[in-house]
Amino acid sequence: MIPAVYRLLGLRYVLQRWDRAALIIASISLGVATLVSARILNQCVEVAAQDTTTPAGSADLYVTNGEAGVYRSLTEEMRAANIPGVRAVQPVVYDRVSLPQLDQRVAVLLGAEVSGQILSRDNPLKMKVELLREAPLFQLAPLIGAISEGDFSKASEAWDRIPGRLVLVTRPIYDDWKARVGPGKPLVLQYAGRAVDCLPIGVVQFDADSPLAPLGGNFIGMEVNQASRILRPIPPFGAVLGGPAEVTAAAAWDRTHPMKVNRLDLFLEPGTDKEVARQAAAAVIGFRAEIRTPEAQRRSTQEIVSGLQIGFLVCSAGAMIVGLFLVYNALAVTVAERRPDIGILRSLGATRFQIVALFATAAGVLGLVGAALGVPLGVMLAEVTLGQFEDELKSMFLNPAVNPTRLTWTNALLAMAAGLFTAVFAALVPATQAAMDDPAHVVRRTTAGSKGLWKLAHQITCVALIGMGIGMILLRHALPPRLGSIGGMMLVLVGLLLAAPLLVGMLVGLFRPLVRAFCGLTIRMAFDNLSRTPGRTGVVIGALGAGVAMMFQTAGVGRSNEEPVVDWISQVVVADQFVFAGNMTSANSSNSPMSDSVAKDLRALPAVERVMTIRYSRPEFNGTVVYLIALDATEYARATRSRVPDGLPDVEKFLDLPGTDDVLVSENFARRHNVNIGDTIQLPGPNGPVSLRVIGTIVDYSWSRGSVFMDRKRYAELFGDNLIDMCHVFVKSNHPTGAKDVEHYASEKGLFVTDRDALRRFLSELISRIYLLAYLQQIVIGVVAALGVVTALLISVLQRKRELGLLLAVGATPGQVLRSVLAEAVLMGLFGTALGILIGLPMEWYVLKVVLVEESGFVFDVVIPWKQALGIATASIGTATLAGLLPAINAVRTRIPEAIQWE
Amino acid sequence: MIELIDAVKSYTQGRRVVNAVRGVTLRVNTGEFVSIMGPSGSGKSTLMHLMGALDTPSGGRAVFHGQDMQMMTDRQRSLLRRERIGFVFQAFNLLPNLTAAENVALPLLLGGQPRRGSLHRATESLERVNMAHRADHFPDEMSGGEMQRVAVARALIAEPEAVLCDEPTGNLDTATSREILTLLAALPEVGKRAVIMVTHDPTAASYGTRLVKIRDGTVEADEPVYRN
Repeated sequence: MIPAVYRLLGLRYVLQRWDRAALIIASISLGVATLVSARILNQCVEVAAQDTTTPAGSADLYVTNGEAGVYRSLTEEMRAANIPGVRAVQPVVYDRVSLPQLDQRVAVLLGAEVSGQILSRDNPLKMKVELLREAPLFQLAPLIGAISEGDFSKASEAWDRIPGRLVLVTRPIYDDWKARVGPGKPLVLQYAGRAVDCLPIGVVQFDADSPLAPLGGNFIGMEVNQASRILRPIPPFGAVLGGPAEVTAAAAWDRTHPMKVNRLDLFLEPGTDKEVARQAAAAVIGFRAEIRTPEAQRRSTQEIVSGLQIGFLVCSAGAMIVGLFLVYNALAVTVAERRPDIGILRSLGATRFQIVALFATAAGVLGLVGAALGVPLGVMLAEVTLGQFEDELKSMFLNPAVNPTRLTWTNALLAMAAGLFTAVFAALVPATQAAMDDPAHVVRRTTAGSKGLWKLAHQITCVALIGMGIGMILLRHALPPRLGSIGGMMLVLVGLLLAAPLLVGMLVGLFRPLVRAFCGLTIRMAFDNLSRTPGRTGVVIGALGAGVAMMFQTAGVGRSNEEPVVDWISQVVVADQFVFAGNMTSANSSNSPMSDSVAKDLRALPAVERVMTIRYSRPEFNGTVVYLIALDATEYARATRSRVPDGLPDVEKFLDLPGTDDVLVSENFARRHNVNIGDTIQLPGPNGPVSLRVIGTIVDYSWSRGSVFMDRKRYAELFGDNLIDMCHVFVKSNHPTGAKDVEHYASEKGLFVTDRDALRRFLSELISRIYLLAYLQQIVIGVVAALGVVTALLISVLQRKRELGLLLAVGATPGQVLRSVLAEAVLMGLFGTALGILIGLPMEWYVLKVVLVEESGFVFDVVIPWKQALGIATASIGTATLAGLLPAINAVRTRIPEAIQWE
Repeated sequence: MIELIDAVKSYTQGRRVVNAVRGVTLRVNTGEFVSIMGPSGSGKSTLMHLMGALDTPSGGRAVFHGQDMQMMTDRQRSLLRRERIGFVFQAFNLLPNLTAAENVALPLLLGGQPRRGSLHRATESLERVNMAHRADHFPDEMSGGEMQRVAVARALIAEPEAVLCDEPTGNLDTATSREILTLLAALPEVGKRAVIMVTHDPTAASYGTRLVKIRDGTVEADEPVYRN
C-alpha cells in the first residue's frame, strides 16, 4: 500500500528513532483516547436521554405533556375523530419499577394496548415473543377471543379479570426469576411502595434495531391500563390489590381522576404528510397536549445533554490540539535532523511532493499506531468515568443499565481518522518547510532565506485565530448556542497556543537582563538556549500553559462555586433524617417515588416533630427541562426557620404558596428564562398547560436550567400526582429513641434513611467527583504536555550536541551539563506555569461571568484559587523537571569527539 | 550539453550577501571530463549546483540540452536530476539506514519503479564499480573508498548524461582517491556522458580532459588537460 521508497526511507527511520516515535504515538494515543471516551460518553448519555424521553419510540408523532402525562381517554377521542392519515393511536405508559425478589433489580415497565399488531411478527417494536408453556392458557382464553375479534375494550376487561398481571419479560429477568422463585409463584414488582403480583406469559427478544433494544434485559411489558394503575396508583396505596376488587376501586377513582398514560403514539398511513397529520391531530386535541414529531420530542433533552457533550468534546479537542502541537514539534526536529537526507534525496531527483509525502507517510503510520492504541485506552477511560458516575446516571435516566463499552464502528473509524489526520496535519508544516528549501541550500546545509515568510504566516494565523475567537464571543448571541461562547473561547486558546513561541520570546526578552545579572553560568546557558529556539520550546511551553490554564480555570470555577453552594446546602439540608425509596442519588429525582402515606405514617411516630415531603418532576419550559419541586411549603418554611434562624432570608415566601397557583422560582431560573416577579409561566400538565404565577425568587442551586417551587397539595391537584420522592424528617430533640424509630419504620417498609451529615457529605462528594472528572481530562492534557517537554528537551540536547560536547571538552563536569539541561526543563515549567496562570485567570472570569451565566443563570463571584494554583504550579514545574531527566542523562552520555563533529 | 551563459548567483548568508558566481559562461559537452578548480569560497560548488539543476542562477542562463533550467518548474528540475544527472559528493552522502544496494536504487525507487527490479539494477550498477559483494552492507560497515564507489554506482544507475562530482576524493586517502578518479575518468563517452568534477586538488584535476579555474566567482582559466 505504501510505495517502496516511503517504506524504505520513512519507516526504517521511524524504527531507528523508536524513542521519538514512541513519544509521538503516546501523544496521539492519549489525544485519541480522550476523543474516544468523549464520544462513548456522549453516545451513552444521548442514548440514555433519548431512551428516557421517548422509550420505545417508533411512532411518527407523539401526543405528550412530558412527565405530566396525558389522559388515556384521548385515545378513544382521537380514534373516533378518524384523523386523516393516522393509521393507529397507541397509548403508552412506562416507568421504572423494582423487583424485590430479584435483589431490588430495576426494570422498565412498559404498558401498551394488547393488540394483534403488538404480538404480530412485523410489530413496530421489532420484538419476538416466545409464549411460555407454563402460562395458564385457560385463563387467557377470553382475552385471546376478544383480541381475535378485534374488540380491544373487551380485551381490556378480560385482561382485568385475570388474577395477577400478565407480563412479558426479557430473558435475563425470566431466567433470574425462574432460578430464584420458580414458575409456581408470581413475579412481584414494586412501585411507590406497592407490590404487585405478575405472571410472566412470554419472553421477549428485541431485534438490534428495535426501539426497545437499548433497554437490554430490563424490560417488562404489560397491558396499558394495568400498567397505568400500577404507575399512577389508586389510593390507598400499599395493599396488594388485584382482580374484581381493583376493577371496582379503579372505576371509582377514574371518575374523579381520569386515567393517565405517558403519551399517545400516532402511526401514520404510508405517504402521509407528517405536518398535515400533526395539524389535524392538534385540531382534535386542542391545548390538552402537544403533538410532536420525534425530532421535536428529542430537542429539549438534547439541549441538556448537548451541554455535557460539548464539555466532553472540548476536553478531547483540547487534548488532540495539544497532541497536534507536540507531534508537530517532534516532527519539526525529525525534519531538522534529516535535513542532510533531504538534501541527498533532492539531489537524486526527489520532488517536493515526495519529500512532503515521505514525512507525511511516516507521521501517518505513527498516527495510525497511536490511534489504534488510543481506541482501547479511550474505552477504558470511558468505563472509568462512567464507573465514577454510575449511580448518578442510573438515577438520571429511565434505563437502569448504562452500557459504557459500546464502541461503534463509526467511533472507532472516526478515532483512527482523527489520529491519522492529526499526525499528518502536524507533519505537513515542517515537511512543507523542508520541501520548500532550495536543494542547493539543503545540500550546502545553509539556512534558506524563506523563514521570514513562514514567520509572517505564523503571526497572521495567530492574530486571525485570536481575532476570530474574540469576534465569535462578541457575536455569540447571533450564532447558534454555544458556538460563540465555547467555540470562540477554544479558538482564542488555540491562537494563544500557536502564539506561544512569540509569547515565550517576549517573556524571555523581559527576563533576560535579570537572568544575566543574577544567575550563574548554567542557568544563563539554559535561558539563552530557551530564547535561541522559541519555536521549539514555545510550543511545549504553550502546551504546558494550556494544561495549567485549564486546570487553573477549573480550580477557580470550583472555588468560586464551593462556598456559596456549600453554604446553601447547609441551609437547605437541615432535617435530621431523610427517607426515600431508591438510593441517595435517585432520591432527588422522580425515579423512585413513594406513596404519600409514608409521610402520614412518619408523622404518627412519637419521635417525629415534623415531616416535610417533596415531589420532583422535570417539565419542559422554554425549550429545555426545568425542575419542578413540589413541597409542603408551610412545613418547609417553618422547619427551616426553626433550624436556621438567620439563614435563607426569603424562606418565609413559601408561606404564601399553599392554596394558590403561585410559585417561587430560583434566581437562575428567573435570569436564564428572563422571568420576573408577577409573570405567569406555563408548565405542561396532564390536561394541557398549567398557568402558574411567579411571586418571588429564591437562591437555589438544584438545577442548571432553573427550579420552580410550589406547594405539593396544589401540585397534586393540578398535575394529578399524589406520589412523593422524599421525606425530610425533623425528630424531637428530647425524645429518647429519636432517630431509631424512623430507621425502624423505614426498614419495615423497605425504604432507605440517611441523616443530615451523611447527606451533606454525599452532596459534597458528588460535587468533588464532578470536578475530579474535569481534572482527569485535564491531567491527560498535562501528560501530553509532559511528553512534549521530554521531546523538546531531547531535541534541545540534539541541537546543543556540539555545544555540550565543547563544554565537556573544555572541562565541564557531567553534573554541570546535567544541571544545564535540567535548568532548561525547570525554566520551561516556570514559563509554562506563568503563561497558564496568565491565561487561566481571564478564562476563569469568562467561564464564570459569561458561559455559566448564559448556560445556567448562576452568578458567582470570581475567587482566585491561590492554594490550588500553588499545587498546580508545583505539579507543572515538577513534571517538567522530571521530564527533563531522560534528556539530561542523554546529554551527559554525549561522546565528545562525535559531538564536536556534529553539524 | 550543459551551458552557463553569463550566469550570476548571489545568496544571503545570515545578514551577508554572497556573490558566489559573477557572470560565468561555460559549456560542457558529452565525452568531456571537466575539472573545476579553485580555492575555498571561489564559487566552484555553486557553479556545479547551477549546472546540476540544484540551483538556478540569479542572473544569466543555465541550459541543459537547449532547455533553460530557469524556465523549468521545480518538479521538472527534480526529474532532470533523477533521470539525466548523477551526483557524487565529498561526504559520500549515502543514507545511513539503507544498504548499499538500497542507496544505489534510490533514484529508481523515487521514480516509482518496483523495489525488486530497482534492487536488481542496483546490483548491476554496483558490479560496475566492483562493489556487488557489499550490496547488503550499510554505510557504517564500509570504508570511505567503498562508500564513494557506492555513491558512483548510485550516480550511474539511471545512465545519466552528466555526472557531477563535488570534491569526490576530499575525504579519501591517496590510493583510494586514485581508484575513484580512475573510475570517474572512464565514464565520459562522446554522445553519451560527461563528467564535471569540482576539486581543489591539482592531482585530481589532472584526471580530467579540461580544467576550468575559478576565482572570486569568475572563470580565471579554461584549458585542456594533457595527460602524460
